[in-house]
Amino acid sequence: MPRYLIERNFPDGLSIPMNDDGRKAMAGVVANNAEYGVTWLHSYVSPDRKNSFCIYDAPTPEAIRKVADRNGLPVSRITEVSVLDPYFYQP
Amino acid sequence: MLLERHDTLYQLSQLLAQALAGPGRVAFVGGEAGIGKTSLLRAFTQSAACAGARPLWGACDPLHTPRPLGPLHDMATDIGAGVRAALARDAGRIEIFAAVLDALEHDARCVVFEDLHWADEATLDLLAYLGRRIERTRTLLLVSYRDDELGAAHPLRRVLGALPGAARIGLAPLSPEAVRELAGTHAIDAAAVHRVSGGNPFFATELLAVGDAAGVPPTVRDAVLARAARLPPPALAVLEAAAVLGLRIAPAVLTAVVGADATTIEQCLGAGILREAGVTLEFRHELARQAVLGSLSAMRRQALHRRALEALRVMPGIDLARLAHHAEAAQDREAVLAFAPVAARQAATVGARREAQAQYARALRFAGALPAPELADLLEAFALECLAVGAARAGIVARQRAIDLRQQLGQVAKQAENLCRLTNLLVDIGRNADADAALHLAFDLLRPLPPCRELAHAWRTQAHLSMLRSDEQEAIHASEQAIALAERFGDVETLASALNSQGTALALLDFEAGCALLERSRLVARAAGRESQVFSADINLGEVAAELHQFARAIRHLDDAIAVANELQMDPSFPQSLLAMCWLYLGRWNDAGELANQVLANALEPRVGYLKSHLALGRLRARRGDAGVWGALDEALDLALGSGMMQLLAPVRAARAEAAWLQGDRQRCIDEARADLARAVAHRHPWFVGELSWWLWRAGVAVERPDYVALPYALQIASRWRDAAAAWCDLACPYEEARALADGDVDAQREALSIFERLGARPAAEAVRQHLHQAGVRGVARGPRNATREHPFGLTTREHQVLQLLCEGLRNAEIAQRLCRSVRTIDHHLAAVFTKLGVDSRVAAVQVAQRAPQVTQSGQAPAPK
Repeated sequence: MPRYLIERNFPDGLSIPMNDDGRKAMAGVVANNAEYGVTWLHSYVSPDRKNSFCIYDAPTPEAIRKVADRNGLPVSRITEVSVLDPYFYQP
Repeated sequence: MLLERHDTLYQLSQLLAQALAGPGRVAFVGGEAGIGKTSLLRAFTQSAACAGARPLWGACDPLHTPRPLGPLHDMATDIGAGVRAALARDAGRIEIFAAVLDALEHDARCVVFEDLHWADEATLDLLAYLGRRIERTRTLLLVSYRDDELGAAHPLRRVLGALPGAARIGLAPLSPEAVRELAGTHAIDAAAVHRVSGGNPFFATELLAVGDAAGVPPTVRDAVLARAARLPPPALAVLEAAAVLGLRIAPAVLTAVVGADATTIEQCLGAGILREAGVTLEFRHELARQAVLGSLSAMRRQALHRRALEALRVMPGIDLARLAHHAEAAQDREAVLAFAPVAARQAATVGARREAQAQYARALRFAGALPAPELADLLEAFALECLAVGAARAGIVARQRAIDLRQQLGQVAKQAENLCRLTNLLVDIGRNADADAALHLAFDLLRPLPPCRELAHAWRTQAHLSMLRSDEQEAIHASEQAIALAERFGDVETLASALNSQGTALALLDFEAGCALLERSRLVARAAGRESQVFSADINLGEVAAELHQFARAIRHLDDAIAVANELQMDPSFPQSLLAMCWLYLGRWNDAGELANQVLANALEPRVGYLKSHLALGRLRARRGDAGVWGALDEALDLALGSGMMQLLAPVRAARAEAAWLQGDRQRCIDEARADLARAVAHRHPWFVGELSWWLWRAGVAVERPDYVALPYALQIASRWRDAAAAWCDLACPYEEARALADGDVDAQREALSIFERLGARPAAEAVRQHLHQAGVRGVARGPRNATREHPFGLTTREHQVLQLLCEGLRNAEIAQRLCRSVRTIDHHLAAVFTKLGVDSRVAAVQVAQRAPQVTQSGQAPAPK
């Protein structure tokens, strides 16, 4: 399954409360993703919380947009990516 | 003993109650082998909950080539006279399916289809047919299958996918507590039984039956064979014969095959390996039968199959698929050749094309010594089924053998007909040049003969191939020859086909005249009951309309084609691919992407029919700026290059030019647009020449503008952006309209930007935004505007979603559940929504939303219903 980097924009800032609501929100995202064969691996969030960079495994870019719509999450850009790390050439 | 299934039984009784009150329901019960699907369904159908619903029961058999509609035959006695009559006279499947639906419409029932992972094609088609119409009945349709045995390409997946409204019930393994309860007072380590069996109830029961304090057998096979080993030799022989005969066995057959008597059968029942099910005997589980079967030597198995064949062939009412199965396993050549071809024809009648093809293949495995004419007949029948099931490569090999045989026999006309039919198989996998060569040979053979049906067939093939090559004049000429001969020899198939090719070819020169011929082809085919040719006429009507950008009209015909395909269970992927393309043009991007992905998810080997799905995805991703553009467009190009067809190459090149442009690669845009422009020009195709020329113009290359170029592109190349935008607006193509507006003044560019943003066309929107910015226009946001500011009432995405659900009539608790939020959070969102809409109640909010539909619509057009 291809891996994608998804860039999201949150003009009002992303807020995920550290309580049961936050837990439910996350569980909801994961459950909606699963219905379309999409897996959220992890994300990086900018200090002002207005941009996030999310790593996903998904069958197609369309599936990512579908679940984003379901989850009420914005999508600015979807790029297919693969892993490269600095120790690639070391034994 | 049924353990830990109370919740599931309750769920089933709820579903049944809903179904009996109407409309009907479908539920899939999935789980691994031995998890207890049959036990559950049996307990349910025998329970009080099911008392009013008079259950019908049918099961599939683990044969390599199962009996078509086996489960329906099982329930024939109880389902009603109409279905019995249709089955008895070997009616076609549409008639049989309609009879079943009719029976269910008249009566509230619970219908069980068991073990559908083994189902034949016709049964799967029946299931899809009933499932789509279940709301007309008051029936609960229960379907069990092994969910761990469905590979990605398993045909049952198609049915599961086609019935999104069906309930899914999964069966979990037993808990350690349940296994302990099952073990009761057994002197055995219940924890070990749970561990070894993984909580599988069948396996656990087997282990408990043979294990003791000293140990638990390591596999289910060991457990079953340990039980069987306790039987006296005559009873063991009965058990072995039963394993060869199948999952369900009539006692009389067992007596005829192995001399079973009351005593030996009683011993098998006593050992708990066989059990009684009504008047038949059955293995307690297919796993048990497999264990016994696997313990037999190859010689012993073959001998038992031979005895089974001898006993069964003289009994009345034994189905041919079963006889053919035993005949092959017994290596009885004559019997295979006697039963398999007849079983194949029977399967084809009810539309089980895959089974028909498999039975012919079985016969061919034993056909080495057949006289040449019979072998040729068999190969030809097999090749026809290969075309129907999309196995073109096997079909081509069979046709070539048949051609050699007809040549040896001096049957020139039949040799030519085989060559004509070979072309269809070759075209199916994009080998169009080989198809032309085969047809050339056919004409060489027919030229010295007096006019005949085969000559009509050759002309019709010529018309078809010329039409695919976009050689309109030749297609029209060949069609006229074919039509005259077809009328003379009364060949309806050829008549309908020639009218189709002629109409498709003519449509480009004279759209309405071409459509009229296609409509006539449709009528001829429908009157003769040739539904596959009706399908083909609908597709070509849709395709020519789409090629001329008449998308609303195209969609009408494609909907017809898809409806026919669903009714007849034919492959709808080609019209669906075209439909996805039409939706893309009409701005229904989400729908287009979803449909194209659905087509490709079911695709097995690359076929020309999938090209438009790749093309739609390539264009969609390019316009959104998403990943995966070139993967899709390379697949499309490979298919187009293989076929060599202008009408496939030109749109693929146009899409590639567009993608290159949007990614800022001007030179590539020029190269792609130029690659096949000359071919489109040679065919004077208004739209293909128009789009490719426009891309060159866009990239700054001077282009000719022939007078036949389609209006919107001609206007754009003439820099008449306002008229071009209006022309695209008339065609209802928003993206193209915005593209024309983007060439205009500041106001037009602002309008273009708003359309691009509504569609989610990021690269095009960014280009316009940058342009406006450089021109010093103020008030254009630097980044994409977010959904909040775009919303007319300033609702956030989440508030907007909450309002949508409110309009669907959901209560706060239900909204909270749907969005996985707490009820308090939803209350909070709703309060914000009320403030922004300026209302103070739910009812008023819904009213505001209904008066201003854009409030509840997102950027996309609403999904089709």
